[in-house]
Amino acid sequence: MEMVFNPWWLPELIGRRISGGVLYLREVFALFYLALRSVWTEGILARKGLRLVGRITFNQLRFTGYDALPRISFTAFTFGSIVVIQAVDFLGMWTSLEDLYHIITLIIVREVSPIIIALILIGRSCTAISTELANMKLNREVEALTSMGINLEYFIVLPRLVGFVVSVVSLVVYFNIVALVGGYAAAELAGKMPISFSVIRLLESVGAKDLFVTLLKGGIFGAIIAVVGCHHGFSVGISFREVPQVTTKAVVNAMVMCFVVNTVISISV
Amino acid sequence: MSEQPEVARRVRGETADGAPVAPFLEFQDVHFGYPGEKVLEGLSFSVPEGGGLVLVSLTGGGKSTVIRMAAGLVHPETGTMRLRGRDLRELSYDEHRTFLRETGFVFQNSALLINQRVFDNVALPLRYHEPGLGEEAIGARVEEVLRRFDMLHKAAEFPATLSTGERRQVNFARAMVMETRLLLLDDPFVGVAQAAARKIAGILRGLKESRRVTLLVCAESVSHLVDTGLVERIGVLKHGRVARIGGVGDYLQKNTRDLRRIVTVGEAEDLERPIEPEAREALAQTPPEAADPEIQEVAGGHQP
Repeated sequence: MEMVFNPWWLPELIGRRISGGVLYLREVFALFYLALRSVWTEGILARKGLRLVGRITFNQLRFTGYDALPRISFTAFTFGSIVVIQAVDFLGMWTSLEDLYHIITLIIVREVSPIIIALILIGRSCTAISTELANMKLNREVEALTSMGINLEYFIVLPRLVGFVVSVVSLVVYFNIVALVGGYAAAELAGKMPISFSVIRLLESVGAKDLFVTLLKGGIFGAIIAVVGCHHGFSVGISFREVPQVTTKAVVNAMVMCFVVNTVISISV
Repeated sequence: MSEQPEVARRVRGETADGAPVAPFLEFQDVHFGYPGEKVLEGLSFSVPEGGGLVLVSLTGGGKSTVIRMAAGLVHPETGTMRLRGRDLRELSYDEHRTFLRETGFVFQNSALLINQRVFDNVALPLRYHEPGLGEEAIGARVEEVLRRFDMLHKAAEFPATLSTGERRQVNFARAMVMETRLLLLDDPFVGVAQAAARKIAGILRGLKESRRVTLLVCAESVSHLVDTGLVERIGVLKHGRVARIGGVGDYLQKNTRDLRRIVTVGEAEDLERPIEPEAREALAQTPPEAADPEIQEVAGGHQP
């Protein structure tokens, strides 16, 4: 068979990738929209299963937020220590104390804490959601729920969405406090801290804009992780061999989307 | 004995004065397939309200697809499915949800939520659809239905610890915990012990008579359904369509051996046998208006 060279293979490939990406984003946004809409249609108007959904949301908060606290604490402390010690060590002699406070809070609060929390929760909870839903679908549990007239966006997606958004936002605030205070304490213990450096001033240097950016990022990252995890869990076909595949896709896509959103917010706000 | 004309009317889908009523559930010339595989090719049948129909076929004959389609979980490629005379696709979202709420579904693999206890599995539809019902009332209703299926002692266990038959019984309990109007059963007695199957069939029959629950069953073995009088009609699902359909009693009386074996022994392989020449001849010689409506070979997959 004669091989014909297609000079348009690269544009075609790029076009296919772009259209695939657009379709994917549309599906993810549709799931997000349907979950939000179900608050009105199922929750407020029909008052369906409020206690049930509330209980699932509470469990999600516990798994995603509360249970992650030990790891987050350790990560925040080590990361805060490194940033504060390095900043004081290398920048202390070149910049004023005010600038030093601002550099530390900029790095920790605005840029690093939301993305670190997102990465930890993607590895820890996005994989759990995606695997759980994929297995539920393959065991026909999802079909059973549908056959009982249960709205999947309300019963499955919404509790995870709320649980993730609240968890990520809370964990970001917690991470910031532990990283700043813990970093200061570590630098103090290591004898690297100038006498005039005050932890109160450090915390006070966190402005409203920094707080807004970190919370905005946390909220959006939480929504992305939850919806992408659910979307890929539901996308499993007919075989249990697909479960690790959809989970891997969920992790990679959630990470990419979080990085893109992080960059966009950092540049634009 | 007074029940007989009523049953016959139900079979024919008529009211007490003989007028035809819109069937509760109706499939008309339904086609459906998966990539590279045709599953349903011109499937047509109907079930009157309060009636019971069992579709019998070999493994892979499209039984599960029919049941899932009847619940609106999959949609036909062509053809129509009607609920009380209305096309299922015309139902609004809320109407479809109401329909599902009143529909009990027993899955081939039971499809219980594996991370929830038996009690919570059965309570799920109530907790979701009945926001006004307190936990005490829900508990009482769930206990009652679990007791009916002899599963109350397993209420605190997880589905993974149950046998296949026990899981099926829990699935039955979950399907009936709401005010069910339609029961869709996919091979309901596979893996269920004989005594338990007879008991379940008895419960279903009681429910059918007291609440006029409509029953659509797809199965390979139908002995319990026939023995307990749970269904009035039996259809043979073959090559994606209803090849034959009629009243169960008539099939047994007329000694159409191929089907009799299926209903009594459960040997679905007999479906491959042609209808007996004597029966075919007798049918051919009977004028159409006098022909027994209970036993007819359905041409082209359409129900007469």
